Amino acid sequence: MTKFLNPAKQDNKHIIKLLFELRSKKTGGRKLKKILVADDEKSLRMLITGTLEIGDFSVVEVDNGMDAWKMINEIRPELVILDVMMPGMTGYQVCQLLKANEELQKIKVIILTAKGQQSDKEDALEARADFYIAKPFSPVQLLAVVEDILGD
Amino acid sequence: MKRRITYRNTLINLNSQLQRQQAELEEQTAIVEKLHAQLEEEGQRYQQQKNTLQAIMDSIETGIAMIDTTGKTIFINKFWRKIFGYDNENDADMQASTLINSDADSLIQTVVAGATNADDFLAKLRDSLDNFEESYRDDLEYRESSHRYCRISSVPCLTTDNQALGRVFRFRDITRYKEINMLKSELISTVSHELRTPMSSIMGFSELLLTRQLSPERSRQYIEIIHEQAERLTKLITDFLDIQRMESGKQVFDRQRLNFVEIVDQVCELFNNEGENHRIISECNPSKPLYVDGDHDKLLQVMSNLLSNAIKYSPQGGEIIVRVFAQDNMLQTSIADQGLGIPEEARTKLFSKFFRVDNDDRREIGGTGLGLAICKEIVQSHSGRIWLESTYGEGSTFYFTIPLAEPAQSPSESALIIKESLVVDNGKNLILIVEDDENLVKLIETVLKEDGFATYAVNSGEGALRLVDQADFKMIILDIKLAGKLTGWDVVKALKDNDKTAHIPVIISSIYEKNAESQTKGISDYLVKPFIPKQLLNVVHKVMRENVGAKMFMHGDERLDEHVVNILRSNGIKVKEIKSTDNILMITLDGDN
Repeated sequence: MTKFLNPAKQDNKHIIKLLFELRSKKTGGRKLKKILVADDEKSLRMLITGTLEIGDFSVVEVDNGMDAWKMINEIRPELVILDVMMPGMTGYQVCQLLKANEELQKIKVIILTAKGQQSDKEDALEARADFYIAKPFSPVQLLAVVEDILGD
Repeated sequence: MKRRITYRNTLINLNSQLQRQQAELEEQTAIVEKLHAQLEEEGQRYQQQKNTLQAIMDSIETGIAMIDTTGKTIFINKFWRKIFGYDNENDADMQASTLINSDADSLIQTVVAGATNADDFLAKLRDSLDNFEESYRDDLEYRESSHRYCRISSVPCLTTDNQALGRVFRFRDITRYKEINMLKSELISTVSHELRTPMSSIMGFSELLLTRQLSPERSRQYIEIIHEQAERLTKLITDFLDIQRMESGKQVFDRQRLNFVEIVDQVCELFNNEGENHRIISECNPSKPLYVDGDHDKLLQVMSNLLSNAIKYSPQGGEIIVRVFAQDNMLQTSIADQGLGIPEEARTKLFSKFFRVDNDDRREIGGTGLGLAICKEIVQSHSGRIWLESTYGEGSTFYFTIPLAEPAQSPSESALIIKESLVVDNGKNLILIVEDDENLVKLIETVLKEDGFATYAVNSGEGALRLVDQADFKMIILDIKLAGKLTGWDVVKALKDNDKTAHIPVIISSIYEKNAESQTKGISDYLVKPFIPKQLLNVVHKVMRENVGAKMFMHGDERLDEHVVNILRSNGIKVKEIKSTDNILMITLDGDN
């Protein structure tokens, strides 16, 4: 089962945390894997959460780089799916911050880019992302990658 | 005596010798003189050749400098001086002479001063002076006052027997080339990004639909997103082609005399009806028309692009104020919003393609990133100017100007009437269509003709009033915004004020919603555009039912009048109004009969 939450703004962060705890209780102590999705396109966030619906994930959405970074620190997800072109901070910048942080660097990162050019691929590797998916992507493939990354 | 003879002989001998020598000397002098002349000629030819060479060298757009084997600069051309900032004509010679004869090192210093990769270059240039056989080529980036790129290449200069004479350096300013290349790749990457984003949604959601069992609600939601994103893609392509056409000057503008105030009113009304969260306040005087010569659809596009931006970037419930006024033969329009405002550094780039302000709390703002670029192209094509004023955090005001039309001219007569001859198909009810949108005229005509009506169309109020009493029109379908100076409401008033035409039922067809005011003006019904054929026919039939046969015209005779009315009344028919003018009696019956 997967639950969805609206893009988190300042006030409801603690509510989100509570919801997470509640949900893990509901699933009989079995912890859902948290995935943070950051994309400034609403339809694409819907696509990603829709894709992840059939896995044992709980998905949180944000629509900009700054909130993505705040949320990573707040909820410590297992996986972050980042768009590149976002207001605030780009996906690469968020990823670089994350991978440079000792406590956070174990979090897996998938970067989605709409450009799909070689230079972007290099940027993504420099940002030390765990996986790189070019847009337009196949949801089936994305799910396979996510399950592979989060698989035990 | 013998001695004397001997002396004499000697003297003769000497003399002839002297003469011979003199002749030889003369001969040699002639040769020297000839040589001198030749030399002078050669010198002139050399100077001429040098001048020719210099002229040729100065005419080419590549900087050229030559260094000899000792490392002295022996030649530079004009463009070289220009590239490196020695192009002041007054002391060009002085500078040239200081540069020429300077040693290679100082030339190199001059060349690389200001270049970002100066050290690399110095090393390379010095190497090249030691190694006269090699040619090389490289790009040199400059950052003095502005970004500049130079391409530098060097070839050895050799004698016929392969002895080194020196080295020729060529400098090409490739800044423009680099800029164009950069713009091109930026545009391609932006366009592909803008195309891939909606494409991702379309591909992704359709894949989910194809591979998953989804609830009908979810399926519908996904299909809606696919449709929405496909629309966005279409809009993007249309906008992109639009701007390409305008930028390359291929756009043909359909210029007409237009009342700009009407365009503004239309757009404001449209947006006010659409968005509940914003209020658009138009501060222009609708009774004071301001005429411009322009393309109606394109100017409408400018207004709606600017207004939709104002709405997109405004907080919920924000006010947007639109002002239109005349100033120095120009029509000036301003659109002020209470949005975030635009940071200073973004303002100059705002009108370029695909540029968007990167705000931290940017909401879900759609659009193609081409709206303002299109506005700029349209306004400039109308000999106008577009700009903005903004205080970051307090909102922005966009302004644009268009030259006002010469007031003396009236709309050309030919624009007023679509068809010249009035052919009435007897036996059919004739309907007058007053509408300036040709496509809509075609649609209305087709629908009504198929339903058994005869139609006649004009595109202006003036045309309508000229024609209306020339045939027995059973009904008028009237647009509000028309080609001439009169509006639909002016036409209604003129029709109702004239006894001969007051009885003709009028159906208004307008993009505006019906309001309280429109009901007081004696119209029979109201159609809001766009309407479907069925709506049109419903209204036409209803009005026909109410009116056809409900008006009776009789020769005025008082006794008869009374008689007729009595007969009607005794048959249960309600008489609404009896009017007698010029011996003609008009009886209006109640529509409910």
